[in-house]
Amino acid sequence: MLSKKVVITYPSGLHARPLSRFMVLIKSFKSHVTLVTPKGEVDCRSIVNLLTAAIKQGTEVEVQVSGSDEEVALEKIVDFLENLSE
Amino acid sequence: MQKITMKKPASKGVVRGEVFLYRPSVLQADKSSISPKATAQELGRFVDGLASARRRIVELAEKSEIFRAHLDIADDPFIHETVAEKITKEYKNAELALEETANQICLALSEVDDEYLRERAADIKDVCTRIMRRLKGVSFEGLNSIDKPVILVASNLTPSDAASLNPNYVLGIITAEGGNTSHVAILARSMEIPAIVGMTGITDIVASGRDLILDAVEGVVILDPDAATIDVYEKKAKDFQERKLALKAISKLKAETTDGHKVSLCANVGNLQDIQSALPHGIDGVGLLRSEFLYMESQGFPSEADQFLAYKTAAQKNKGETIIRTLDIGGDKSLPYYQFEPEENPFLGWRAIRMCLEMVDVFGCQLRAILRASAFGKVKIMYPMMISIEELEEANALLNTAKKELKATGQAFDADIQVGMMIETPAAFVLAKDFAKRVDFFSIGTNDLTQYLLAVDRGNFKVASLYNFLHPAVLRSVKAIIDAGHEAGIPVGMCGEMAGNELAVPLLLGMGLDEFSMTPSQVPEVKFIIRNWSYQEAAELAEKAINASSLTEIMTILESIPKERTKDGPYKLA
Repeated sequence: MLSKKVVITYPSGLHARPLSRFMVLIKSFKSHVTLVTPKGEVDCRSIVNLLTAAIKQGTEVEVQVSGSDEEVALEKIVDFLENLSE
Repeated sequence: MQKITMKKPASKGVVRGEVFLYRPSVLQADKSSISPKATAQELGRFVDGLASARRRIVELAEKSEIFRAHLDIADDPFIHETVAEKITKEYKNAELALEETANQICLALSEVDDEYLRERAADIKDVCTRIMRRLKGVSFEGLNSIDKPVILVASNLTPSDAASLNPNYVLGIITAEGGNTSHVAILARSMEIPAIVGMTGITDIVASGRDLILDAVEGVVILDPDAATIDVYEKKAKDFQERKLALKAISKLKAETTDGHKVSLCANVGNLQDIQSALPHGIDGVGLLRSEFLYMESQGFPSEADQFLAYKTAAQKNKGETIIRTLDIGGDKSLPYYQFEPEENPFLGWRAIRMCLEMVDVFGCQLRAILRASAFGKVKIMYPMMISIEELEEANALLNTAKKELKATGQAFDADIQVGMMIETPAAFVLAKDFAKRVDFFSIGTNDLTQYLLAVDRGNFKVASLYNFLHPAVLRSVKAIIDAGHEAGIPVGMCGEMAGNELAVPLLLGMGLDEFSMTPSQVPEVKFIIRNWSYQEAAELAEKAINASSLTEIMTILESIPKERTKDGPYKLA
C-alpha cells in the first residue's frame, strides 16, 4: 500500500462536479482507494460514502492506494485533489 | 377564488391552466421477515431488480448528467453491502432491506451542512424507488399520462419524474417541497417553465381539473379565478412573454444609449458559484467580488494558497475585469474563529480596512493572493471603508511590500495592477478630488454611503423609511464623486443597490457613471432601460434632479419619465 497526505484547498471542497469526475478517475484504476479523513475512512468506490463525508476546504486527507497500479493511481489522485476545479 | 402568496418563485413566468395533481403511489416495503433458508433467493431478487433498474438508468445516462450520477449510486458497493447484510444476517426481505438502507443514507445526508449535498438525498431515493418498483413488479406511470396542457402540482418531483415530463404539455410547476437549488427548480429554469417550489400544503388545497393561475413573478397562485382576474392575468402573461423576448433580443448587445454612449454592466458576487450563474445574464465583468466568503467559510484565516486559487478561478471564469474588494468584515459580519470585541456602534467601529491595517499579516496574505491571481486575468484591487489619505498610503505601502515579497520569490503578477477604492463614507466623498489623484478607479458604495450621509440605520424599522438613495443629499454626492473622478481622468463605478434600481439608472446614466455593478439577474432589465435612453436626455434628467431640493421634487421628476423609457411592465425589479 502507498499513501500520501493532501490538504483540500479548493474553496468548495470535494463537492458537486468534481465528485463525479473523481468517481470516474477512481474507476479507471484497478487499485483500491481509501481517503482517511479526520472524521473517518472513506471507501472511494462508494459515492454514498464520499457524499456523506462532505470533505471541505482545509481538510487534510490521507490517500491510501493498494493494488497493481498503485503508483500511478496515487500520483494521479493526489494531482486531482490538489488541483480541484469546477 | 382563492389567492395564495409566496415569496420567491423558482422560475419566472405567468400562466393559467388546468391543474394536474401528481400523486405517485408511495411504495412501502412489507415488514415481514424471511426464513433463514430463503436468504439466497431474496438476495437473488435484489440483484435482479438492481440489474433491471440499472439497464434503464444506463439508457437515461446517455443524455443526462443527473442520471450518470444515478449510475454511480446504482453501482455503489456501500448500498450493495448494506442491503445484502440486512438480508443475510437480519433476515429482512429485499424491499425492506433496500428501504432501510435508503433511509439510513438519507438521514446521514440530512445532517451534512451543505445544501447541495443534502439535496442529493433525492437522487438516492429516486434510484432506490426505481429498484423497489422492479422488486414489486409495479410499472412506472410517471407523467406520461399527461396528454393536454396542464399546471403540474406535486409534493416533489424526482429526476425520474422530470425525465418523463413533456415540456409541451407542462405549462407550469408548483411543488410543496424543495428549495431553489432542488432538481425541480433547476430543471424548471433550464426548460423555462414557470415554477414555484416549497409551497407547503399546496397538494392538499388543489385537485386535478381545477382552474389555476400561476404568477411565478410575484409569487402568487390563484385558484378558480373569476373573469376579471383572468383578464388581468392574461394581459400580464402576454406582457411577460413580450418583455422576455425583448430582453432576450438584447442579451448579446452592449449597454449603449440611442446616441452611442456605452457603459458597462457588471455583477456583484459573493462567491465563485455566483460568477458561474451570473454569466448567462450577459455581464461585462465582476464589479465587486466580496472576498468575505473565503473567510466566513473556512475554519481559520484562509491561507495565501487557498485565496490565490479562488481569485484565480474567479478571474478566469469571466472574460471581463474582476474587481476584488479586500476583506470587509466587522460591523454586522463576524467570523467564527475570531473574537470581535463587542462594540456600541459596530458600523462606526473596527471594521474593513481599519482592521486590515492593524492585522497586517492577514492583509498582506490577501494582497499577495490577489496579486498572484492578477497573472491569470484582469484583476483589480479595491479597498473598502476609506476615510483618509493616510489609510490609502498605508494600504498601498503594504501592497508594495507584497509585490516585493512576490518578486523576491520569483512569482508572477501584474506589475501594473489597478488599485481603486470604495467611496462609501462621507469623508471619502468630501475628499473625492484628493483621492481621485491617488487611485485608478472609484466605486461608489451607495448602501453605506446613504446610511452614513443620512444618519439612518436601515436595519432599524423605526427609521428605515427615512433611508432612500434618491434623497437629494445622496444624489448630489454621487454626482460630485463622479465629477471628481472624471476630472482626474479615472472611471467611476457603483456597486450599491442603487446601480440596479430602475428609477436610479437613468439618473446615474445621465450623471456619467461608467460602470453599474449589481445583482446579476438585474443586468438584462438595466440594459433594457439604458438602451431606451439617449445620453443627452438622461443628462438633462439628471441635471433637473440634481437641482431639486427635496425628495418629493425628485420623485415628481422621475414620475414624469415617459413610460416607454422605463422598465414599465407587469413585473418589478427584484
